[in-house]
Amino acid sequence: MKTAWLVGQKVGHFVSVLFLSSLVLAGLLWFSPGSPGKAREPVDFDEIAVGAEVCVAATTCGTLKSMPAKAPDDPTVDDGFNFIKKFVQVQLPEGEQTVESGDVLAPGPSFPTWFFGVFWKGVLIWDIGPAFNGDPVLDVVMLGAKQTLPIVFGALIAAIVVTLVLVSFLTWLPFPSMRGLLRTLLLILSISPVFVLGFLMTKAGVLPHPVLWWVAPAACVGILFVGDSSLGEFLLQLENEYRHLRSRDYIHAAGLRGASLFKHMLPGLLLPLSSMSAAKIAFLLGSVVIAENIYAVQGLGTLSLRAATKPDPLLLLTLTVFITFVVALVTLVRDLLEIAIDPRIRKGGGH
Amino acid sequence: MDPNNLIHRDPGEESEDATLAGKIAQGALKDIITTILRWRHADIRLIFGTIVLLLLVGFRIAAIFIDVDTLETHLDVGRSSGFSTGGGFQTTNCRPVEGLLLGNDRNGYSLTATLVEATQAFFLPALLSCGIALFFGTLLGAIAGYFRGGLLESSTKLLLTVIASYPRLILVIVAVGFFVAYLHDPGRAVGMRLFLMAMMLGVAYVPVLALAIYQKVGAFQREQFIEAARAHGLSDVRILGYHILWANCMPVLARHFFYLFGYFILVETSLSYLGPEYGVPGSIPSWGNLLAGCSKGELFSAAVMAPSVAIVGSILGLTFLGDAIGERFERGRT
Repeated sequence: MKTAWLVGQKVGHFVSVLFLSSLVLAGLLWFSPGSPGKAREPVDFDEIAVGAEVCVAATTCGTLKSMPAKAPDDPTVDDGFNFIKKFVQVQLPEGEQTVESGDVLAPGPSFPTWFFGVFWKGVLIWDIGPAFNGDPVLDVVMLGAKQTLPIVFGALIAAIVVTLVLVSFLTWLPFPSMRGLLRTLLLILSISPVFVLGFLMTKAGVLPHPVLWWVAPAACVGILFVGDSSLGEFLLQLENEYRHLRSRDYIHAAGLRGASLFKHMLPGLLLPLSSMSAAKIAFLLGSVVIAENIYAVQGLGTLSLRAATKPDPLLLLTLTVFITFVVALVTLVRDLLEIAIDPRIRKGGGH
Repeated sequence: MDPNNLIHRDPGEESEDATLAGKIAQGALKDIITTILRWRHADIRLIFGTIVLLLLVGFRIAAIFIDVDTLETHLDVGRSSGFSTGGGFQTTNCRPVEGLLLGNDRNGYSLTATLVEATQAFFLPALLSCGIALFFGTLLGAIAGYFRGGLLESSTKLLLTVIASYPRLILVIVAVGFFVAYLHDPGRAVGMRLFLMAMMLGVAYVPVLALAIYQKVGAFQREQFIEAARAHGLSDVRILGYHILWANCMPVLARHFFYLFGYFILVETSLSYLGPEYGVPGSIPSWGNLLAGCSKGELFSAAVMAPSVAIVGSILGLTFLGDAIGERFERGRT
């Protein structure tokens, strides 16, 4: 009963974090200059020229293809905004379609309508609307996730495996000075930013291959698990945990009995590993933006950059909430793992 | 007798002088070796970090007086004035040039001068970012840590968890990209963009600092001197502000100040490397866009290695300095 209550608490926390993070982000986007609910300012026709950026709806902007056929003082139009609506053709940034007269002119929806009615309702019925390229937003996000998540989790697993091997090696190494030197060298390598490592790798000839599709993702995994201090932080934390665990009495006793140390140490290492993974996943999902951009991988990171600069607020919100969902999910798994492994939590002792 | 040599010196005295000089030289050498051996025990991280910090401050001050335009080498004929990362790559650029220490950059300017000038892209925004993170992180962490077990603690922790659930870089990209895309004149939005970057990174770092302060405050609350302060009738604000935060949390704050400073350099250079839409505009030199600008250069050329070393060295130095100062403070207090 106690366990079920704890699990329910953690799931409730997960849902509330997900909802609140989407609310905060939606609020940020809503109050930004590019708010989806904000009507555009009327265009000053004394300054407008072909090639200028004009917007005919809250989120429909493009380059002015041709000058209006009628003068702006036409009595049938009352201001520049209506004038744009009636006479101007705007070439949209992508695709062939143009905005014709009378197509659009409406201020965006209110914040509750946009956040609940468009976004969350769209998530529930799996139809949020089109992204900047005309494809459904959720399809675009899922397609990006298929590229990004294997890279991020691959980097996480690679970091854990390599760190475990390194910790075992460093613990075995009989010379303390050599151990320190090796650790320092690894830390220096690891502190290099992802983009510097990516740049150096591309200069060294590791480039996206037209046939070997896995080269770019593998390179991304490589620079992600080493760069931005990922490997260094894992190494320091895990080495501390490993040494702490090795000094525990029950491990000594297991060693004296001739039992497998690995078997006894594994549950003790699982908790710190899951905590480290939960802390690192958000960081990796941020750094993947840089790695994907260098290797032209069409994942969540590249999409975030494009959605931010287009700008496409709905896609940006969906992408960021999806990324937050992944981070919160990993944290939930960590919490559930803690409940499963640590009997003190189940019996009410707490952490 | 030689009139110029009024003092008569016999060969025996000369040999004594030579012995004395030898002894002095030997003593000096011994002193040097002793000093070096003593330095072996010095904290290398502190020395390296201090040098990096002094260099960064020096570069930032020097950047006020440096005008890169006056140092251009005129190799890139037909280039418009101003720093730019887009277009116009000439084979004569990103190369060693006689008279210039590290050669020139993509636009034909002195790479050394541009590297120095590029510190203005991150220095003040990084300080602003640190200020925001330290203020709000300390405030929230202290409140949650001191007033435990109530609604204040749980709501503050929930807020921190929500902020921590966003990847920091994504949050910066969202803010910078989405806000700046709507400014009418992106060229004039340089300050705004750097301010946004600093603000968002500061806010994104708040949970890290707040958690550290939360743990520290929670640990100190059970100490006897805090109980004694309470028994003396000191107010919560004084106990929290002076006895806990000021007197005991400085190592944490110092450590995170340098970490965040280094992290800001990482984020700014990363975004500037991606392009002027995300980082600093092309009109301002940054270590990131310097590296991107010479992407066609040779791997082991100064144009590629100098910005890389500057970025990695700065981040490493600041991280080391944070660690060393934090540890020193802690050791001094215990």
